[in-house]
Amino acid sequence: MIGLRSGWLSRLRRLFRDPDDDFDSRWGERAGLRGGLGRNLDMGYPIRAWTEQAAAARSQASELRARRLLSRMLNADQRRELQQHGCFTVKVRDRGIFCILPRSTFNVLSLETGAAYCCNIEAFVPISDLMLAQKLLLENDADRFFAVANRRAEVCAGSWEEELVRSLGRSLR
Amino acid sequence: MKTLRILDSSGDRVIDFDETEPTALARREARALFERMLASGSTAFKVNRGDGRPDEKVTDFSALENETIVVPRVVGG
Repeated sequence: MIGLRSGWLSRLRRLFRDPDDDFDSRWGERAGLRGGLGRNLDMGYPIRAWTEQAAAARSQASELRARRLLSRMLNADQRRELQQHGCFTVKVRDRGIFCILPRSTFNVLSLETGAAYCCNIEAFVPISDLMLAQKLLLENDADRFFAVANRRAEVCAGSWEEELVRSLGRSLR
Repeated sequence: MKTLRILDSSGDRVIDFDETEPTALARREARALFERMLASGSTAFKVNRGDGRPDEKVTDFSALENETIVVPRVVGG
């Protein structure tokens, strides 16, 4: 694994020194990969696989699939919030209520303090998968979430968020 | 039948398996993937556990129940 990673890293460095280097195909040949094997999670990441995974994660089909899974994993209140507001709240023991927004950065808001937290998945995933991962972590492994997440102390980023927090606050009372 | 879901760019990758012989290959694949992903920093949760039991973090393949979601490693954004 380390060998594979250092292999693609050194080729990536060479690519930027020599733009004519066909990095992707040579990476696949040398790593002994054929067909879909090159897309495996732990086989290293050539540039083409990166862009393909990023595009797949943003595709409507992937997002729909992820959204269905997310909806199935939410409780009735969270599902209603998702349908009404496009986001949902999570109660975290000893830490209060957090709102998970449908975006990829600083999308977890504390409804008590207004602080925004950013905790992303290293792999490319649809937004609904990210929201599901954050819900599972906050509800079942909150210490890990807060150990990893970056925190922004400012209260919300814009009028839409402020209105959303006000709206959620009203519906939670 | 048990279901292992790994979140990925397609939404999720699913492996169904049980303790019977016909799914032995899928079970081995699920175990190998589960252990490799947890070793690389992923987190797994038992979900949809029935009888109102809450979701729960799981680290042991033999403790998996009906449905498990594997979240790849998380990082501060």
